[in-house]
Amino acid sequence: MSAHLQPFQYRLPRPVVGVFPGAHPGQMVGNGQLFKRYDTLIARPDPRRIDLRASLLDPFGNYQVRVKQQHSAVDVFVLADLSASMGFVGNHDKRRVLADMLLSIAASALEYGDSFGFIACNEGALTDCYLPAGKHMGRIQALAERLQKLVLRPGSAGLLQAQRYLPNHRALVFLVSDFHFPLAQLKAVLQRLNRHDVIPLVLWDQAEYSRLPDWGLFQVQDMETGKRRTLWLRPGLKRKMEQAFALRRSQLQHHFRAFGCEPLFIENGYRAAQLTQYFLRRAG
Amino acid sequence: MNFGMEYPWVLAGLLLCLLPIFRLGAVANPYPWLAILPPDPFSLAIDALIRLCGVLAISGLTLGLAGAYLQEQQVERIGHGAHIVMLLDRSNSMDNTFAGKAPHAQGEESKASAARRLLNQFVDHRQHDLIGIAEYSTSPLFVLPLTENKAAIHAAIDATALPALAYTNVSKGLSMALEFFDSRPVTGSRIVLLVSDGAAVIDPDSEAALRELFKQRQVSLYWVFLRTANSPGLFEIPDDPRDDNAQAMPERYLHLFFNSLHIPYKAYEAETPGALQQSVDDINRLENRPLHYFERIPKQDLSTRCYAFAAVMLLLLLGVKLCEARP
Repeated sequence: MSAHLQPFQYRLPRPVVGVFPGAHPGQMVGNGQLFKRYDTLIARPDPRRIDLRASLLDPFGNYQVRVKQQHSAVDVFVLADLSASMGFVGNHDKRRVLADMLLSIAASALEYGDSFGFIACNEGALTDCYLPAGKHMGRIQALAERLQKLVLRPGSAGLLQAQRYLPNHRALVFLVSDFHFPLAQLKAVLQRLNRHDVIPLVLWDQAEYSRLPDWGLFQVQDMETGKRRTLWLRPGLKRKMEQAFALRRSQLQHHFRAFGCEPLFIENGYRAAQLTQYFLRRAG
Repeated sequence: MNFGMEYPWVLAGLLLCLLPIFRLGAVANPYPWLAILPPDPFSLAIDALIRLCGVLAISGLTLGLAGAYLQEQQVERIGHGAHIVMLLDRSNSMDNTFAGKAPHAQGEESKASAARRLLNQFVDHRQHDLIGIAEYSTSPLFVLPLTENKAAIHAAIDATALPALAYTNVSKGLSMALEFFDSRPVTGSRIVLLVSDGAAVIDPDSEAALRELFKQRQVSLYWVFLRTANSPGLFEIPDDPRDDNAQAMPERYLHLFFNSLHIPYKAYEAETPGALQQSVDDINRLENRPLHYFERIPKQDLSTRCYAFAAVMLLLLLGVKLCEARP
């Protein structure tokens, strides 16, 4: 695995709900290190954990058992927008970045002992790219290979149906997209995903706005709709474009924060350190 | 401004003008989302201009291929001049010199050739005149209708170099000359210039008809009488009253007849080429009334201009192409 595909450390802001023991603080009680509460021996028939001092202090004379918080596993999903605009190749190939990200997140999840799943959407959910939560690295690598060759079709309405493929309990969902769709749709997507812990990863490329030529005629074609537009590039227009992207960035941040998640803008290719920093900052 | 096409079916190529409206010849760079780009009126204007250039270039080429031309047109003008009908005598005697013999020696000139030379000069002096030519011999000959085409007039005058025909029948010639003015607007002067070296008797029926025609047509008459030496002149009164009849002196009686028409009439007796020159100059000077006429502008080929226009547009587009930025 190359350097930038290294796993990162993630942690969750809230205790996870999961039956299976794992690496993240959870709501389940059971075997663990962190004391949670006392319970009666009848309720928790585990004589190894009888606390004699607490039992003596109990006015009813019941045996008190120390109940520990159990660390639970969480399902990690990557929900990727595979619309046509994700095929943009600027300084970095967005699909390549997506595949790198997929492998890195999968490696991190498997390292924690969590299950990893993948859902891709364009106009609808792409069933042939669907990977249910599991721990098989080989299948994930095969999927990453396939993503490179996939023909991307326009549309991003599939994100609205994605929650059907997600588990009912709370999962960690990395929402990877360029978010080049109307903010109203973004709002709807986030409303449907509000059960889950969503990490929005905004996949942009600096070539979209700042690496354009200074002067000259430049025709751009929308990858989604195929519409064309002619631009007479000049420093003034480039400045306006950069301002438009800055405005878009602040709008996205505003919308994501309204749903309790902080977006991470990935503009220079994927680096695992960026995600590590993101989770450190979030925990702090 | 009337346009015409040599090959109108080529105009179907104008449909190609739609091409630049749908596609610009620029490289389409894929871009994830156009809606995020700020609106830019300047770019829109440039875009529209480029498309317009493309449309104009293609339409210019198509019109050029279709062979666009401006149809022949007439421009109304006011000038000075006259409608002149030259009525030339083609009788045998015109081929003789003023001395009354066939030209043999070097420098001798027949009456016909002298008339030809001077009439050609006369035509060159009269810029805006409409000139028609009729000839007469035994019968009248229709040569050239009233026209402003100088080359045709010269050619018609030069054609009198052919050997002359038979006799002299002036009355039919005159009526044909007067018919030239039929259905012509009365503008400027109307002149019949009769060039002859003799006359003939006009019978009373023709005489009455001619009187009426001259009145109707409001024509002035100039008679250049190329008098051969020793022949009776126009104004000569014979010594013997018995000779004073139309058969013996047809010239004198024709002159009297013309005088009795009450139209502007002038007779010149030209006995030498110099005198003929004098009479032509006289007409040249006198008949210069304002003339309302139409000048013809010939058909103009526009395809060269179309190609030049298209070339300019293509050069502009080439410049635009060179301005295209590469990411």
